Amino acid sequence: MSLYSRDPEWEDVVPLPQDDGVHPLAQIAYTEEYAEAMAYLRAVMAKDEVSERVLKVTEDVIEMNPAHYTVWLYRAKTLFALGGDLRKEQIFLNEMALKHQKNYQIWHHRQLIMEKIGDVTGEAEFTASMFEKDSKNYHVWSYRQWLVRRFDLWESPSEIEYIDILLKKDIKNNSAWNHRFFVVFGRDKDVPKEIVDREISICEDAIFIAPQNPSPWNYLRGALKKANLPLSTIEKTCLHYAPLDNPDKIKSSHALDILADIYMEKAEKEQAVMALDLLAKKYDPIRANYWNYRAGLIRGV
Amino acid sequence: MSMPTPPSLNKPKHVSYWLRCLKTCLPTDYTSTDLNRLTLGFFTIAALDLLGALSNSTSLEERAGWIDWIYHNQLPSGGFRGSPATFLYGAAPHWDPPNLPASYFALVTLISLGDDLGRVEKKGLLALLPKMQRSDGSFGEWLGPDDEVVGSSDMRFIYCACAIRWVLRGRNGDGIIEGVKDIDVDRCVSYIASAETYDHGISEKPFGEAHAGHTYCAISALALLNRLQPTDTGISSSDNIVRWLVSRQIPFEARDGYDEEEIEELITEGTEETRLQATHVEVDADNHPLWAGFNGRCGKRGDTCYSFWVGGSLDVLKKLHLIDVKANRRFLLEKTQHFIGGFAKLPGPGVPPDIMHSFLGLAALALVREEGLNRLDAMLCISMQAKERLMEMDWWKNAPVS
Repeated sequence: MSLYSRDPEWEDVVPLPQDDGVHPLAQIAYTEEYAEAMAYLRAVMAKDEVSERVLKVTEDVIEMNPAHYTVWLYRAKTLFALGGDLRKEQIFLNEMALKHQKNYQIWHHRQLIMEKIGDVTGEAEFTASMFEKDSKNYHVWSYRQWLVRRFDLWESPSEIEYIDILLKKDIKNNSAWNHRFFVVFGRDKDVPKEIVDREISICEDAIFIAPQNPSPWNYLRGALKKANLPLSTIEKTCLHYAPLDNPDKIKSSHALDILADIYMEKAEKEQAVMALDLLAKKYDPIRANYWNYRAGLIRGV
Repeated sequence: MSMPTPPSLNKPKHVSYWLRCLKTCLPTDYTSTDLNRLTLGFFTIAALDLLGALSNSTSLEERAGWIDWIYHNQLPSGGFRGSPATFLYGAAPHWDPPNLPASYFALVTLISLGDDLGRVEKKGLLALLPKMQRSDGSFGEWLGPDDEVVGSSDMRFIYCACAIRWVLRGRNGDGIIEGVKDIDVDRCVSYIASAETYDHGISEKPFGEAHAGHTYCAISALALLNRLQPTDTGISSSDNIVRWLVSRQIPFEARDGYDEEEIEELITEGTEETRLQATHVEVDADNHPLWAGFNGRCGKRGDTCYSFWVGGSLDVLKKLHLIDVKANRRFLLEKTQHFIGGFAKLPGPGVPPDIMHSFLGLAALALVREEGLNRLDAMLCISMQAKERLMEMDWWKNAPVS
């Protein structure tokens, strides 16, 4: 089946075949459709053509290979030069993104388009539909951060509410935790004490549900550091999940890890080594070499 | 009672997997990587180099042919295109642009093939680097029309830029190329530092989520710049990063009769108890898991490639001995090594091997000195022999580059 060579709209175009050289590496068994669309794409690119049919051939190539890098910018330039319908482009991008989950270029192009449109309506809903498919999609989270920065959504209540919904669904979704940290602490200004307290208590609630979930523990460390508070602020919480005087009741290796750091802060080396020994021997033996290394550093001090 | 077979690298199968990749067409599914042909070429050549099979399974003429093909993808003014797909027979050069990852992969593939980089437009390529650096210190993927820096800002392109600089300028980066503007090293270092996360992994950009792939690129870039030591403007301290890295190792969980979808549901929606009921971890007498690979982000599944991204980072930091080497090795050899050769991304039946995971699986094993594999230089991601060949080249050691 040939799409271009029999199409009267393309009859003035001489396709440019791929010159693969004599001893190519990593040759791919292209479909005829792909090889042909690429040859017509090269032909219009070589002339820097700006036309409606450029939108057609770029769409065609993108459908078959969304990771083609120059085709996206060529399409954007053509679209802007022709004053094309950007909302229509957005719909095309929605389809592409849902179909090709692990692609960088789609999101870069989307930023260019949204920059021009200048109106964020619908983007939260669309990214949410992407998270329905994969709530940890790195590209989509990266794009969502861009939206917050570009459209100043820092104070938007829906941003934090949405994170709460995702965390309620999966308390271990580290991407959602990270986004929370970005929204709460991501601006160059001091975070008020009541917000820091709120974040600490949200972490403690999450830890109660799943003490072995590393995300809220990491978040706590980060929040305390941002607020210039010592780790010992959460010593009681850690001891609750890792009572050193009653090792059989320990429920969280992460609590032990933080305790070791708290005791180092307080120069109580023996206690710190005890926590690290428990990690190495019983509560996190997969990292025994690491915990022993840390204990060794303390013993050697 | 029969003894269980000790895990081993099925070297002949890997060699034949890679020779197939090298000498026959890749399946149509690889179309989505068509613009990264130089990357695929690197994986293929570097894998055979690690397996010690380049010189005995390919002829000198073949290798010369592949070297010519790489140069065939060099642009007249310096730098390499990602694929012959963008070659426009000289027309509209701005749509046949230099690509940063392709330029890095071209150099290291040439070195692995035994080339002396004699035909590389060294000045042209080095001059591209500052042009591709943004004011925040990051680099783009390719140089668009009117020298527009295109592509996302992330650690991959920083790594490629730093590796190209190291290969062409030498280890101290100072001066064997006179008159060519250098990149802004301080800005590059501070961009990397700005992407260190609250849990002390490294992300693609400030406040992104820590990711082992970006962390490897960042750590290796700092090593290539001689800036790994913590400074006021650099990353916090390697202790913090080491903690994040070793935390990526996770035990392999056997799924007791549940299929993949049911397990996903239990993991995300179930309680810790239901999850523990559905899966179990086999341990040895010392309570160490028998199989343990690495994830790339907190809370994600173990995946072959992260044994390299994490292992490589730790090796550059000289802390690789802190992982459970044995359980990682068994995870790769018994859970993701494929019976036809190569490695799959994930354990489990029905996951085919692919080029990237097959190379990174071998690379991860080479880091821990698997028998039968050549040793790998973690920072450059090529065999030690290849790196030593580069360092012995006259122009690299002392001669000014023409």
